[in-house]
Amino acid sequence: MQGKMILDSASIIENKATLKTDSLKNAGDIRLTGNAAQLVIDSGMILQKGVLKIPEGKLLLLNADTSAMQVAPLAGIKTENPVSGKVVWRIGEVEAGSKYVIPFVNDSLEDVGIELEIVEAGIGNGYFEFITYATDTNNMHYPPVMYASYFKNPDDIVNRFWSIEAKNYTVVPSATITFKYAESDTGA
Amino acid sequence: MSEPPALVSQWADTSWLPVLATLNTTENKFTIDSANNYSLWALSSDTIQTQKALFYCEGFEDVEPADSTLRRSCVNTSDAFMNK
Repeated sequence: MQGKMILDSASIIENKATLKTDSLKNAGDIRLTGNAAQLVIDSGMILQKGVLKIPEGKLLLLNADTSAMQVAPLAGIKTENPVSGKVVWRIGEVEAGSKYVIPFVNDSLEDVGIELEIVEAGIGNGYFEFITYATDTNNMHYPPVMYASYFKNPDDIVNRFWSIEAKNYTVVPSATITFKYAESDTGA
Repeated sequence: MSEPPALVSQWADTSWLPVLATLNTTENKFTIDSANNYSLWALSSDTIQTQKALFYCEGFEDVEPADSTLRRSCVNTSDAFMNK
C-alpha cells in the first residue's frame, strides 16, 4: 500500500505481511507479529497515541530526515525481545550533527530510548538497527552473544540491554550514543 | 577468552575494550562520549562501528571518578563477546 495511512485503533500486522506507506499516523496501538512482519515508511510517521509494539518483525524507515519519526507524549515503540523485533532506519550519508531519537518505551511508557548523534558522516547507503529489552534483576535473558560468567555485578548493571548495529556501510559513521533507562531498570 | 581484569586500568588486553560512559543519574541516561570512544574504539582492530554495538554498563566501585562527573565503565561487548 502506498499513500497516507491513519490507524485509529489497535491494529495488527502479522506473519509475513508487509505494510508499506508513504506516511503513517496512529491513534492506537500497532502490533507486529511474526519475524517477517514489516511496517515500511517511505516518508514519515507520527506516533500520536499508543505504542508500536514490535516483539517480532521490524519497522523500516526509508527517509533519512531526522524528523521522519515524530512521537507524542505517552506514545512510543516497544521491542522487548533479545533476538527479534527491531527498528531499522536507513540514514545513509547524513551530515555530522544529525540527531536521531528512537522513542523506545517500557510497559509504563517510560522513556528507555536511544539517541544517536552523528559525529562523522558515513559512506554508503547504510542503515542502523535498534533494539532494546528489559531483563530481570540478574540481567537475564542475556543477548545471544553473551555468557553468564561475564556478569559479576548484576546489582550494578542496569536491567536492560540496548543493541545498535550499523549495516551496509563502506565507512560506518561515528556517533555519540545516549541510552535512557527507567527507574525500574535499576532495581537490584 | 579469559575474563576481564577487575580493574579497568588493567584492561590493556585489547580483547577487552573499556568504553567510558558519562552516567547521568538525574536523567537516567548514559552517554557514550564520541571523543572518548573514538580513541578507545581505535584500540581494537574491529571498531565498534563495524560490529554490533552492544553495551552493558557496570557500576565499578573500584574505578575512581576522574573528576566531579560521575563516570562508570561500560564494556563494549561487541569485541568482548562475539566470535566466541
